[in-house]
Amino acid sequence: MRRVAVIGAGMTKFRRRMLETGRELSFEASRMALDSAGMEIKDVESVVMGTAPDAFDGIHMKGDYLMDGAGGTDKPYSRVYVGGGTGVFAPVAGWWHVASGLFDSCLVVGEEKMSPLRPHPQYAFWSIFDHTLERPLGVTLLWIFSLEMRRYMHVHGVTEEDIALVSVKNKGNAMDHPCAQLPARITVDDVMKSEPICLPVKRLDVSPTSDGAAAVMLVSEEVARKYTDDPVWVDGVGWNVDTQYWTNRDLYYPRYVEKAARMAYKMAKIDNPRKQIDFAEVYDPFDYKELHHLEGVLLADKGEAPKLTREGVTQRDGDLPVNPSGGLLGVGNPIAAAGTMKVCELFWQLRGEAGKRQVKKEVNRGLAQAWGDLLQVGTVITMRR
Amino acid sequence: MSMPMKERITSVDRQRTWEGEIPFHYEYTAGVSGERFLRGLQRGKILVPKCGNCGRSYLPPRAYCTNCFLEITSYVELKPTGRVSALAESHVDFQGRRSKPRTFAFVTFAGVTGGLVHFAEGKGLRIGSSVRAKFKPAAKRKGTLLDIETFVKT
Repeated sequence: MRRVAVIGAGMTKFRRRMLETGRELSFEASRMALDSAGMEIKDVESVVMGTAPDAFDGIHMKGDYLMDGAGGTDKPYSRVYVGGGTGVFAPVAGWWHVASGLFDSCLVVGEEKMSPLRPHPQYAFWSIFDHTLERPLGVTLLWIFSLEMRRYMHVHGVTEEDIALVSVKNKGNAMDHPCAQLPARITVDDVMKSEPICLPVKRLDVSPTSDGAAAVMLVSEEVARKYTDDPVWVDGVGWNVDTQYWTNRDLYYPRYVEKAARMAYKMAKIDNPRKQIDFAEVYDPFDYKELHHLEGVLLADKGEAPKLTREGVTQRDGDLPVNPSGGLLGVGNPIAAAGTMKVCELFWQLRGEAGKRQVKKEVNRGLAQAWGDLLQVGTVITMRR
Repeated sequence: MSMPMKERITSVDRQRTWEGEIPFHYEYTAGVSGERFLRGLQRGKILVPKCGNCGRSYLPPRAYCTNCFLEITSYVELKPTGRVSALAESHVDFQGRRSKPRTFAFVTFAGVTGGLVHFAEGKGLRIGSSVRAKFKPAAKRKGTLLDIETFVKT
């Protein structure tokens, strides 16, 4: 397989409710990625769109609808989808477009417009549950996230205060992100006193719903050399999908994330992730998920992530900066766009273009990870200078 | 699972079914370009985006040039007269129920890429007919596609 480089990235602001349509958001992010790469749409051979349920935008078959905003018209274009893991899966799909030798370039776009669905986009998730055994309860995704959070806390003896530190860190990091929706200086106490959503999940434990788009430009080595002296390389990709019977696995540990990470590590020849990965953008739609995922991608031992967080290891100036972007908790969570935003952040950090968000230590390799569906999908990408 | 069909339940009355619906409700935005277009209709004008690079103008309206993949910020007003490019006569509504026959046309405008689907009427209407947008009275316009009542053969 051929080496694949990332040579451009772009993203819109993430906001609760945007005037822009999904197409317009896609265009804005795509145009920025092209400008950042120094390319025009005619130079792009293929386009991959990552976007999550049609029910959010309220447009059936929205992959087709979004296409011309992503510059996919009259090109080999496809939409890929693995629930909330889509935003990292789309760049993985872009990678195989180029690594296979089929194309020399692939523009990858992640888009989500969650605001049309009223009264709340959370409602869309009710219909993904079993119609006879779960839906009669009026179940929401918050229920099972809360079960998962409690199970994680129980197994490792983790406190809600430990978990709240993640929200404090990420919302603080987002203060330096120009696109951020919910940057804030908050305290553990603020998180603890925020309104109960589905306990133990409280308002400040959870990311917002958002509209937004993000894009990255992937090219072959030969093309990369024409446009830049400073490409960033995709060196590992992995994904894994566990059974949709979320009842049939122990929720304290995301083993599917570990499998996805191991797949990426094998490709990248990473045998000691903690030493060979300098920073990570793991999926943090909830604060406990950052801890869960740090353990899943083997950057922390099981139950160790809260300790690393308490000790400041995961701060932007720490030994293992985690979510220096501000993550979903701070920047926002337009589902597929949020995952792709993490891949953009790897690009900016590795090129030293992250501005005020630039991590203190020198970074040569980063990891981005997303997660989704009924607690069952892990998607991972590693990138290096 | 390999039972032949005749051994399986063939009447839905004999099995328990669950009624359900996925009742989603939406509030859509028209978008940057759509907003401009609809505000134009409200003022009785058909405004279309025109690319500053290649000069193409588009219907439906869009915020970027599909050809150049550049943002479009300028709009031009069209004469409300177009030409019928295709016609259809509907006898059922979108849920499949019998409805009063209605003629729809795809209307194109000189110098514009694309066109509009709308109602059309007039004796002898056919492909190639010239049609003119009939706007609702100003007080009744709401900034929607239906501010144009129909296209009428000229």
